[in-house]
Amino acid sequence: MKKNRITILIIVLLLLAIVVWLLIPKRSSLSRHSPTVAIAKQGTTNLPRESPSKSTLAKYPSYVSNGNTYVVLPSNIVEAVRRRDAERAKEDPNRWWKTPVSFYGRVVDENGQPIPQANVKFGLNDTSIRGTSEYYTQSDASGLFSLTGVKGKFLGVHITKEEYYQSRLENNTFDYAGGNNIFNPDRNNPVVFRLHKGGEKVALIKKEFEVHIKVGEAVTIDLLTGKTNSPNSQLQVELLENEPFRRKIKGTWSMRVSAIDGGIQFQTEEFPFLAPESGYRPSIDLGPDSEKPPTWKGSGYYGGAFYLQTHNGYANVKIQAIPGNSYFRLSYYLNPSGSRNLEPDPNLLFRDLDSYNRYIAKQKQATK
Amino acid sequence: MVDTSLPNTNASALYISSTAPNATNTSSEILVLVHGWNMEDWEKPRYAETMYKRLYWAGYNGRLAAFSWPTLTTSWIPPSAGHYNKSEWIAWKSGKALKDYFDYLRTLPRLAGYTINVAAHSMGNVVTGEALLEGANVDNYVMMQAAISASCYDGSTSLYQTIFVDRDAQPRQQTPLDASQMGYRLYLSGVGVNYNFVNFYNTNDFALVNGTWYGIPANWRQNNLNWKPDWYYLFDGTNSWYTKATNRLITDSFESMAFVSRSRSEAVGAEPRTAGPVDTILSVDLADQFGFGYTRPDHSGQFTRNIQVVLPFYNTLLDKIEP
Repeated sequence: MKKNRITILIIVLLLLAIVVWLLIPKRSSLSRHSPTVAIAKQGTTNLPRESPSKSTLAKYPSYVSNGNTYVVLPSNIVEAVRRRDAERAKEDPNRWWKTPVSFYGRVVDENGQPIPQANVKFGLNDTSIRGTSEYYTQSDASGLFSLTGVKGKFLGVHITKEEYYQSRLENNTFDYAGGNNIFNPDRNNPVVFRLHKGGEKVALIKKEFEVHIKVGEAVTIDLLTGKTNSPNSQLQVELLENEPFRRKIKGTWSMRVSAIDGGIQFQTEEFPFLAPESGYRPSIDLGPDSEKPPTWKGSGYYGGAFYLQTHNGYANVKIQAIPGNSYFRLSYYLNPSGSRNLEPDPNLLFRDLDSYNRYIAKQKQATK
Repeated sequence: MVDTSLPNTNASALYISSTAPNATNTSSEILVLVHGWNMEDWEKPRYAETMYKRLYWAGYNGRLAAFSWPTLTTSWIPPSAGHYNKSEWIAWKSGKALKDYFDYLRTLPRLAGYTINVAAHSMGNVVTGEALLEGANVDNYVMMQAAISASCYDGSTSLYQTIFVDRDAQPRQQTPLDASQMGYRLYLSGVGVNYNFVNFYNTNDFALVNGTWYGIPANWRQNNLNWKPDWYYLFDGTNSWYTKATNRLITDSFESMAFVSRSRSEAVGAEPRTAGPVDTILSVDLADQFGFGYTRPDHSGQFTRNIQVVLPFYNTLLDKIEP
């Protein structure tokens, strides 16, 4: 009996020790082996730092010990610090994350018509273990949806519906506390989300690769294979300027892009799914201020996007470059069928004409 | 392969590893990864290895090195109020060791003629900023979700945030502003790299703006608002003091920035307008371009997501650092 008690006591003590060990915030082994003083020496810089104001030191009695300067501050100053810290200890640090959250939204198409049964996912930053809670709902027959009765600070709203695309340009995050732009939900004035209706998705050639180029040089590219300087090329790129960023000096960059046997024009839409019928010209010049799609903002690239009309079909092409680099990044969707449709079917993207043709042949076989 | 050879400095407490390239390496460049806050020792090489793999699949043929600095760590316990500020203090102090490491890399015969780049994550940008101030010679610098005051680099009042300015106006909440007072503003405005100085930002980042940790607010903004000045610290309008037991005058700008100074701006990683030495035109919106959101995993998404998802991120990162 006594043995059992001793065993239980030992187990309890062990458990207590484990709990205490877990509750002590752990430093990395590095810091265990490197006392703060040693680290401080590493960080010592010979750059000028402000020395303490002489006038301040003259104000209070002071003394130096172990290289540190100490003063006798008036008790009211010290008291003020104590008071501040005591007040702060009473503050609820979670207060922003306990803000009641409600949200009213409406889903419509490009013509303003309501979209029912759109899937809505809310992500709310709150005090849950993961830090974010998710809620799901669907829009009703009028396209309306809502979220109420929850608490948090910051809300994201994500809408999906088969055959529709949510715009990246519309704001879909809302701050309920602590920020500079606090969102005020209004049941009578729901936030409108305009979805873009897709069309028929088609098989396309999709490629992305780096093309090496020098200033003053022209490179031609065969979009069907991705090969450069091939006799079958449809696109020609000439690098006109390419000065890198240097210590706060902005780099310069410009490029001429030409269609070898067709035409080219800027692409400035968020959803570039249909190449225009007309408006093409032989070449366009790209520079820091040339036209760009609205989604280009925040990409951190020079370059541009454009539609290309060639004897091998229509393409949606993007050139991304960094001044000074010896290459640019080329990515494109090409429809070799001759159709202007450039809406990709994610399951039917091919790397070259051969693999595209094999798929088309199989499709024809299956139809027969 | 791990290279544990160290420069002959007093950085012996720091663990530095470098992964060697494969036999087909043809690219004369090295990228140094600087980790952020709250990274256990075992996690640091894991993140570096993951980054190296992702870079490899994005076509990188250069070398990768990982620089380790002694951040405080906490696994599942919410960080105490001083945890973050103490780590920031250590981060500032580790800048010199990182500068020494860059110098060491420049002296290695096998790296002669190499481009030396740095990618720093979160609080690792404090270490890197200080290394640059100490005179580190770096070719390209990519700041990823940088947890460092934007006003360190860019002193524009247009970057000031009302909540921070208002807090500073409250009784006993005053903090130093300018570098001349040992505050953040313009402390790093004079630094530079040889070529690209890029900010990969996310205005809704969990760790920088909105996050909580097991029910406790744990993000850069909240820390900046509530825990500057830290316990017992005081700024009297001219000088800063530590008032526990004795009243010690703060004469070290590292201590002042970490424990006393409140940033008037957001962190660089949440502020796309950050200019100064930062090349704003080249800066990248992680949310818009790569779908980084506002949840906890998004803060380290480039290390935790699979290559199919983050390949575009690494393509862009390489475009910023490759000549």
